[in-house]
Amino acid sequence: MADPTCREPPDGGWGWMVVLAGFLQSALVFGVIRSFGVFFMEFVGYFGELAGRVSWVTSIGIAVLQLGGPVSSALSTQYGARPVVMAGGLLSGLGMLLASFATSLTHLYLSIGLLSGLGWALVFTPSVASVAQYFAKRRTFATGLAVSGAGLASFAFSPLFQLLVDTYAWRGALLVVASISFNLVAAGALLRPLETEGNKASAPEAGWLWLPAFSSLCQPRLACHRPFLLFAAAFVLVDTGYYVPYVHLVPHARELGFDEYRAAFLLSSAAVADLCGRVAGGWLADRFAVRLVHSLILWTVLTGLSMVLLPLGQSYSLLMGLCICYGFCAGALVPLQFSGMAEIVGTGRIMEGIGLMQMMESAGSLVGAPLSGWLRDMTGDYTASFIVAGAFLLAGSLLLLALPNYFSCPMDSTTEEETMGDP
Amino acid sequence: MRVSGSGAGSMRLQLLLSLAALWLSDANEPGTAMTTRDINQQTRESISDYTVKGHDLSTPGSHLSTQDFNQQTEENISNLTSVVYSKSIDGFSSAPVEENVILYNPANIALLCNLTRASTDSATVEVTWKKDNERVESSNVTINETKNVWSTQYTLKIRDRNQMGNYTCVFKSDQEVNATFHLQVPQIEGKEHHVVSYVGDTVVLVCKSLKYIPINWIWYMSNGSDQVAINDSLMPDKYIVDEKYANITKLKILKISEKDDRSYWCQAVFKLGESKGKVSLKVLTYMTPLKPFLAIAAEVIILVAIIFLYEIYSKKKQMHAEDEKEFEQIEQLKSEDSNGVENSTTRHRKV
Repeated sequence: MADPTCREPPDGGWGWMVVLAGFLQSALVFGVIRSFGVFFMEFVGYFGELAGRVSWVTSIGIAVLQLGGPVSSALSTQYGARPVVMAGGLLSGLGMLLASFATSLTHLYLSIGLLSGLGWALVFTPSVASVAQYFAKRRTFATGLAVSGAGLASFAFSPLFQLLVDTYAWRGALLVVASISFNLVAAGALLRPLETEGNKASAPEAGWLWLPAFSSLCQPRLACHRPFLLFAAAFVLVDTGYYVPYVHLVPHARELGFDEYRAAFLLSSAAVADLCGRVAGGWLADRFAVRLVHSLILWTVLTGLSMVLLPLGQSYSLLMGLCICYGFCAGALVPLQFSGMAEIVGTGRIMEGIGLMQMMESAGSLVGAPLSGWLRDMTGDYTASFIVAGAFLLAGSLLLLALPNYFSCPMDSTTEEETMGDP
Repeated sequence: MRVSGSGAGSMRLQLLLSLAALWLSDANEPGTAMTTRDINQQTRESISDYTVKGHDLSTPGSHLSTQDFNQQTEENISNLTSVVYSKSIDGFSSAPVEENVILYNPANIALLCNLTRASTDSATVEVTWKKDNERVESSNVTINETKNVWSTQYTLKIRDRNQMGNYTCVFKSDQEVNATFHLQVPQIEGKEHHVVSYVGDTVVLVCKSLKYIPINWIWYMSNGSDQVAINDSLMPDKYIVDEKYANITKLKILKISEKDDRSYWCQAVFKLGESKGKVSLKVLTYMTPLKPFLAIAAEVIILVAIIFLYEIYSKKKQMHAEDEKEFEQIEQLKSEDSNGVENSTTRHRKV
């Protein structure tokens, strides 16, 4: 099948409503996940279980979110982004609703972990892909705006969830959070389908409706696509190191002797810097005539370097500076990752691309935090963990350097004047 | 402590004398800070730790400080264990000084007050002790005066709860100044916020006393303005008291109903008294969180409807505009056509 031709993306107009939808879904998926720690303590107290067993609730949710990427992208290539995201919003709210009636931890694993996780997977991939489809010149900036929702929401939701738990206990609070999650349905409604041939490519065949969806999933078109593989492999490496500071920063700070509030404040400042980085990275990438891949490599290298230098921060101000640096660079590379994917596989196949990349990334993120925890146990402090995490990022950026200049849409006049050869 | 023979007796005397000597030597120096001392000693018969610690907090202003000590004694309290609590008052113009003394087990204590007075003050100072604002006359009170420092010490053997309370040393000449020692059992902290639960659900109320282990815990619930003790053996399918650890007590209330919306007290019983912590339970029905849930769900439905309606409306407008455009184009073509026909006939005519 020939590559689908790309129609001119609007680069504005209704596109900004799609950005709003992306912002909302990022807020309601990742903001909720990040703020779920409030419920964690309540579950430990109510069910009397160990912290390790309770933390599986969100771990299963995140794992399903990432592994469900390909399923979600296949479904949305088949049926369009809008119905899939709306269904995902319903599912994630339903999962929380059922969780509010839970009488054991297993119920929580199934309702929040499996059901809500599946809902989140159905929401995330199509939303980000839609933003990339609606924009060309300002794609990275739009993506940056869309993903900044996560950072803002985790600020707002943490105290909100605490207030809900104090007022309604965790059962009532989960009920209210479920209704808040239902707003994902409204966000999905905003994703007006763009009439591109790529979406119509795999038309439903007569007979069993599911078959076409899974056949596009099983066809190894993208998996044999060399630049895509390089890109995805690079981000598997990046993801292995990416989340380490979020998990280990506070314990590291506590080990250095800082008290709970100062350690938590370090994480908050990294989160603020992440938020600014997402918007700024997107804006900067579109503003200046620098190749996207080059900006991406730059930010990845900077993030890796700041991680490697983190153990050097012995005084509070130096550590704070390094955290802000890490947060900003880590945030900046998020929008570039998604719009880089759009450039490599083209807007017609971006659904598949993001879905597949998400699934591969999950391998990295699942390995990353436990690996660095193991390193810490072996060496006695977090120095080795941070250095290894930074090394993974630097390795990922090296892989990115190997990317050929490949653009799947030669008629895509919205990119800079590129030739197919080396720059 | 089992003592046999005179050997232990003479050792006892020696220890007493050495302790007395230490106290006296410190009292002779003006404005002394009594430092922490650990005196460990092992007798032949039994092994017990005798710990003596004293802190001096010379502060000009008034402040409340909590001081506690760890003490291990056996059932028959020996006379050798003692703790000194001291406070210094800096002149007659200072504000009253207070200190909280947390006593966990029966103990021997000495309360020491030092007054540093300026040389301009009058020479006669009247020193008295009060317990709970009543004057006490006791042979256990010693008064010393050196240069400008008046010090008084009240030795007490605390054995039962009647001896707990507020002890105040009063120095009076032209003006009056005092220092108060609040002798109390360890305080139990309840929970500030309500514990929220639902009708038909189960809730666990927790009280902790981490540093001091009480002998017993008793739970009370409020009944109007009274407090009624909860007997969990009488109502085993309603209340379960979990006492797995001695310093944490958990009251599990099953099958909650709206009548259970009240305050509960956990009382820790120590040898020298009791103290209570308060935990409030608030019972909600499922209707309470359902209201915001339905409100937000309704808002979502309205939003989705608005978005779809707007899309249909703008599509209609677009189709309308396209129709108009097509109409204009057709008109334009028609007019061009007619012009072209005229030209061709003109050409024909010319030919």
